[in-house]
Amino acid sequence: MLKVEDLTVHYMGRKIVRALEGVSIEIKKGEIMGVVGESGSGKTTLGLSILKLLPPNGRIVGGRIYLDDLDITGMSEEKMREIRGRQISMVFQDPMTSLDPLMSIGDQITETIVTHEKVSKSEAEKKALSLLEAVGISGDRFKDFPHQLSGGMRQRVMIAMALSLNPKLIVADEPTTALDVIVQDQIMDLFRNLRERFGVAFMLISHDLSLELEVADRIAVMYGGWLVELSESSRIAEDPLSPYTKELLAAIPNIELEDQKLRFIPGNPPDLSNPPPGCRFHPRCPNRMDVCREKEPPVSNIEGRMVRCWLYGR
Amino acid sequence: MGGDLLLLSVYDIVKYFPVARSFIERLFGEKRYVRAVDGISFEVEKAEVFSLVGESGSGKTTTGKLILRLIEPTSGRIVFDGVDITHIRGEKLREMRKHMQVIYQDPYASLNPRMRVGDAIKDPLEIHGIAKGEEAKEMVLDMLEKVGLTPAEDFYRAYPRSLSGGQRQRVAIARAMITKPKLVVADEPVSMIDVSLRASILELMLKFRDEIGLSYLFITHDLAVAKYISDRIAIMYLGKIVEIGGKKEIFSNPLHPYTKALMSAIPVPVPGRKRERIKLPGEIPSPIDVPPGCRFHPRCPSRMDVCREKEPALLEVSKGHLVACHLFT
Amino acid sequence: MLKAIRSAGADGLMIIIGLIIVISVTFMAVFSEYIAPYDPITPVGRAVEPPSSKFIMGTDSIGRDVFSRVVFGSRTIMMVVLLSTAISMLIGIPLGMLSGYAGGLLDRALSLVMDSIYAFPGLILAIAIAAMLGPGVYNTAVSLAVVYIPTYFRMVRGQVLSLREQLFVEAARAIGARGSRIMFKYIFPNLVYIIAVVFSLNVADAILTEAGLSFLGLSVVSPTPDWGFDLKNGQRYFLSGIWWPVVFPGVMIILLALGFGFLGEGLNAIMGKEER
Repeated sequence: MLKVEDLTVHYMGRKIVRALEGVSIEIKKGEIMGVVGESGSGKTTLGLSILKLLPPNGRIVGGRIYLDDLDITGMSEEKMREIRGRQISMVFQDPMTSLDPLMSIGDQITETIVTHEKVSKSEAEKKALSLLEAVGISGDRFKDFPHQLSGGMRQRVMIAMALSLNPKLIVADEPTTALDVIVQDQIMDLFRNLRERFGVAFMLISHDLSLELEVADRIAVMYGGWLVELSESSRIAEDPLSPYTKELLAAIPNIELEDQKLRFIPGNPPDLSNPPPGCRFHPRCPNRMDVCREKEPPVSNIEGRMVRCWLYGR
Repeated sequence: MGGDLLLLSVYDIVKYFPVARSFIERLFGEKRYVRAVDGISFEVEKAEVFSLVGESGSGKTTTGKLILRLIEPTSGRIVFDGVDITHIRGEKLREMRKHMQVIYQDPYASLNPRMRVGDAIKDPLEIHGIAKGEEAKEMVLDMLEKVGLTPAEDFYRAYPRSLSGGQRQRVAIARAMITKPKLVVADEPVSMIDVSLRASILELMLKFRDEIGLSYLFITHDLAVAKYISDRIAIMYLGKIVEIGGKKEIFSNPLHPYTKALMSAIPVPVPGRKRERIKLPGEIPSPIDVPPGCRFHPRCPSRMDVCREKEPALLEVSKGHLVACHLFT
Repeated sequence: MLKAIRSAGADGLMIIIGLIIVISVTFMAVFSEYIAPYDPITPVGRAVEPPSSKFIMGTDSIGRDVFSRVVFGSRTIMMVVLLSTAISMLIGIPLGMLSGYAGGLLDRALSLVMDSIYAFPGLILAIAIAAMLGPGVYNTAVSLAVVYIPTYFRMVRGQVLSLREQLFVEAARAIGARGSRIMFKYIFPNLVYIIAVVFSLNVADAILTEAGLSFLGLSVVSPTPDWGFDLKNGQRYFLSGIWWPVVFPGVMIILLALGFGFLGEGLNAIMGKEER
C-alpha cells in the first residue's frame, strides 16, 4: 500500500545533515509497522517525509515514495493536501499543540470532515460522534474543550481526527511518550482495535522497542539515518540480525528478569552532518570488521528479513 | 531501620499549591488547592538507592523539590543527617546544600549555556569554600576523568552546546558529586537519554554510590529502571505513597492493586507477550479534585465500600513492606 | 560568533554594512583633526559657496567649510549619544536585573516609575529636560540618558523574568549559590546578546533624538559643529536651491542612524540562531 524506495533526505543549512540515506520500506494494508530508533536515527524524518511535512530546509534528494502505485515524491503541495487526512494522516506526540483550544472537540472533528467531504453538517456530526465513541470517549463530551480533557483523552481525540476521513495509513510519532504507562496500554489496545474495525494501517514511530515488540507486526530498526533491520517482530527479539538490534535489546531493562546485567553501547550516535565512513554504526559495533570501516554495507535479504550489515553481505 | 543508618527521614509532609482564581471565583468560590503531596512519610538509609516511582501527577517531583528545600512544605517535617531542615533558611540552608545535591531530567536545560563545563563543575567548590584556583581546577579535571569525559582538558574548556545529551548529563553528575554529598536527588536522570546509553549513566551513578557512600532519592516513572537500580522502592499515586518495600519484595509480591496494574502494563521486550494484563479504566484524576476515601478507589478493580469512605493508612504487612490499602487493614 | 555572521546571509550582510558605517564614523570622530581640511568654527571662504575642489561640500551661511563641520560634527554627536547611552545602561541594566530577579514590592515600584517615563514620547521628554538643564554636551547627554533608561530597564527585566524560571537557574540555587552569584554568573552572561541588540537599536534612536534636539537649538552651544544644528541653519536657504548646507549633515544623520540600526537588526536575527 505504501512503498518507500531508497529514500534519501537531507536538511540544508550551514552544514548538510544527512538525515536519511537509502531507506526502503513497505507497509501493507492493515499492518502495524513499528519504526524504532534513538536520537538521530531519522525515524521522525521518515514519518514527516511520507506526509511531505518536512520543514523548509528539508529536502528529498533521492528515492521515491509510492502510495498505491501513485508516485507522491515530487507531488505539489496542493495535491498533497488531498492526500493528507484522506489517505495518510498523522498523530504527534503532543496533542495540546495540535488541537485548537478554542473549539470543542466534537466541532473540530466535524469541521475536518465537512471541509474535505461533501456531506451535510449533521451527517458530519453524526460521524464525529461515532468516531469519538470508537476511540473510547463518551458522546456527552462532544462539546468539551481540549483543556477540559486529560492528556490521554486528548490523544484519543487526535486519533479520532486522524481517522475521520478513513485514511489507509496513520503515522503516529511517539503517540504515548508523554502519557503514563497504563494509558499507553489503553492506547495500544485502541490501535489494535481500530485496525480490526477499520482496516487502517499504522506506522508507529517510537524509541521504545519493548512497546513495538508488543504491538507491531513488523519492526523497522533505524540507526543514524539508515534502516539497519526490518523483520517480523516475533523474529526480531528471538533472533536479532543486526548487531545494533542485539545491543539495543540488551540495553532495555526487563521487568521480568532478576539481576539483569543491563548493557549499554559505548560512544555516541553519529553526527549526521559528518557521518563516519563505511558503516554508520561501526565505531560502536562489537562485531566491527575492517570492511565496516571502509565500505557501506549493502542491504541483504535473509529469509524475507532485511538487514544492512557486513556480517551478511556478500 | 536504626538511627545511625538513617540519612533522611520524612514525616508526613504536605505541599499544597493554591489554584489561581478569577475575581468572581475569589468572591464566591472556596479556596482550591493542588494537593501535590498530601502527607507522605519515608526514610532513606545511608548508601542506599531509594526510588520514588509514580506517574506524572503523583507528586514525586514535588517531593524531590521539598527534600532539596527548593520549596517549603505546607506541613510536616524533614530530618536530614540528624538535623531538622524543614524550615531552615539562609546560611544554614546553603551549608546543607553542600551535602545534598541534585541531578535533573533535562541535560539540555540544567546547564548554564554561557558557562564552560569546567566552570560549571567548579562552581560548587567555590560557593562552599572547598577549593579555588588551581586546586579547584585539578579537582574538576579529576572529576571529568571519573565521569568519562576525556580528554579532560578539552571538556574543561568546552561549552555545553558542543556536547551531546549523554555527555551533558555526565557534566551534571560531575557537578553534583564534586562536593561529595551524602544524598543526591535524581529526578528522572535517564528519561531523556537514549536507551542504549542509559545503563552507562546508571552505572556511573552506582559507582559514585560505592565510592562515596552516598544515597540516592531516585525519582522515576519507569518501574523497569527502578527495578534495575534500587534497593528500596516507594510507589506514589496522587500525592500519597501506596506501597513501600525492598526491591525484591515489591517485585515478587506486589500488594497494592495500583502497583500490580503498573507492573502488568509495562511492555516487556519479548514479542507477542500474552501477559496477565490488569486493565485500569480512566486516568489519574487531577490533584485539585482528589477522590474521597482511598484516592485510587474509582479505578480500583478490588474496590470495596470502605474504600469510598475511609483513607487507608500505610501499614506494615511484612518486614519492611508497607501498603496503604483496605485489603490489608 | 564570526562564523555565525559569515554564514548568516542577508543578516550577516546587514551587520557588516552596519559595522562599516559605524566604524567609519567613529574613525571620523576620533581623527577629526587629521581628516578635516579646515577649522570648523572659523569662516574660511565666502558664504554659501557651492561644492568645489576647494570646499568639497561647499560652505555654509557664514562661510565655514561644510565638510569640516560634518567631520567634527561626528565627534559631537558620537560623544553625546555614547555618553548618554553609557549613563542609561549603567542605571537601567542593574535596576532591571534587580527588579526582575527580586520581584515583589521593589519590582512594582520600579516598574511604575519606569513605565511612566517610558510613556512619554522620547523627543518631548528630551525637550522638556534639555530646556530645564540648558545647552551643552553634558546636559544633552543627561536629557537623552533619562529618556532611554526605561528602555534598558524593561528589556533587561523582561529577560531576567524568563531566565529566572529556567532550569539551570534553579540548579544554581540547588548547588547553594547566593542571589548575587546567580545574577552575575548565571543571569547576566545570558543577557549580553540582548543588551548588544538593544544598544544598537537604541543608539540609532538616540541619534535621531539628539538631531531633533539640536535642530530645535536645545543641544549644543553654537559654534560647536553639530549636524542637527547645521541642518536648522541651512534650512532657510534650501528652497533657494542652496542644498549643500542641509543635505550633507542630513544624510550623515540618516546614515549613522541606519548604521546602528542595521547592526542591531542583524545582531537580533543571528542571536536567535546562535542560542542553540
